[in-house]
Amino acid sequence: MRQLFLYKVFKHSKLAFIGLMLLISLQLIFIGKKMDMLIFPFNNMFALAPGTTSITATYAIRLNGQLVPITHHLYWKKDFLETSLHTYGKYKEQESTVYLEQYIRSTTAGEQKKKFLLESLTPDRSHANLWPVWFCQFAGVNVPSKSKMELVKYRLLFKEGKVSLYDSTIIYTISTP
Amino acid sequence: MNPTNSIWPNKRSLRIIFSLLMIECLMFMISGVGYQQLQGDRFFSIGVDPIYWIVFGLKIPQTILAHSWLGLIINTSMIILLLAFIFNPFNNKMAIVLCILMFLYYITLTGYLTHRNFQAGFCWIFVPFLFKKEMNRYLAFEATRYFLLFFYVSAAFLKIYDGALQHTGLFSQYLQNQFTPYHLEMNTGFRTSLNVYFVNHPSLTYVLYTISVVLESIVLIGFFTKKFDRWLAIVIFLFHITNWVIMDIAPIGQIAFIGILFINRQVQCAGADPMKSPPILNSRQ
Repeated sequence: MRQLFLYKVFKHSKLAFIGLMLLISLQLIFIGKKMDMLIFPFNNMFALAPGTTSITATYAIRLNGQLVPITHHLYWKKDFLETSLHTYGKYKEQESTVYLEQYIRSTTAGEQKKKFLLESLTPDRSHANLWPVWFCQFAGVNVPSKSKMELVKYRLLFKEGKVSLYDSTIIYTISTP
Repeated sequence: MNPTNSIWPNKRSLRIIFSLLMIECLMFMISGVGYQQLQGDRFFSIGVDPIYWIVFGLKIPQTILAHSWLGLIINTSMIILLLAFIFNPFNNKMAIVLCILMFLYYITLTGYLTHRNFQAGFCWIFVPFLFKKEMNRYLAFEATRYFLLFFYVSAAFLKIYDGALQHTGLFSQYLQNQFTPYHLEMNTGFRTSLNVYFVNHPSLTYVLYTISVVLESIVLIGFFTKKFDRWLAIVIFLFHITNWVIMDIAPIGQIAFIGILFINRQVQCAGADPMKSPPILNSRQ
């Protein structure tokens, strides 16, 4: 008993013990409400079974018909470019809504509260529409004036030990002035 | 023997760990995801997480990314403070500031990256050092160690609980998604060839997946004994390095945090059982 960590905390400081219990309780409440938990971002990563198919999708930006490359960057930048572009692709496919917007709209909170949360916690649509320009510049590609940018969803086929392009769909197009 | 019966025998090990953290921070900046490089980004997506809501609700990340000079000042402060902290790892005031700065950076980076990456260890590593009194620091260190263990064990538990091990094709399905931009750009090499091979051999990848769950589960031992902490750290590193090669998921940001398992024995040896014989506090404390 004396070796138990929580007992040690309890004996040392009642306040610290209460704080620790409060933290654990809060985390349990968050789980119960199906909310994410900041301190456990690793939890169910790669635990849920995806659908079985030999086709996989990825998003890319084409600037004046040329693919903007991202994989040659160092790890974190490459991950940033890949992941944010994937979310942006989903955002455009879902009529310019991020997941949190769908979550907030599905709650029972009042309209005023929902409006406040949406304004504070989701990206502004007019700015988000121009995001591909920022993306290209961040990826190290110069965007000349009067350029055409396309957000494209590519589907790749894994078959017989080879990877090939299955099809592609243009999701969103913008032109720079 | 340390005359003050200090739980923390020397600063050398801590300096090594925080130097590792410094390297990790520099890798964030050098790779190009520091505040100043993210300037002007207006698209973010945060999860259903009240802590993110508070930080984004207060518009802290939005303000930092809208002002280039502010991003530069914060990034520079982080590096300078971290450098100072390496020389004096028991300065709790610096630890508090660094913890807040790292935490804000993690929230900003993952908010704009639009995914809560697991590499949050560069924030949590400061938790034991937030406290000035040795006993508080010791207990916070214990709590952080348990959190680190739980971090990996819970991941293994959920994989088993969600029935992931029942799907033999699950891991090859995941692997199929991991290298798609490389295939699209024809940026191929050893890892993409390995990826295609694994995707086409689901039985082999199932074995690998099971091994990874076993590696994560082994960490459970740490809840019962501290004798094998160094081995557990090696197991975790092995798990992450394999992930990096096979799945292109690097542990940069998490390495120094796992390193606390290497110093745990020193903390135990020097402190014996601080509950039986509380450490004599320095006059400064």
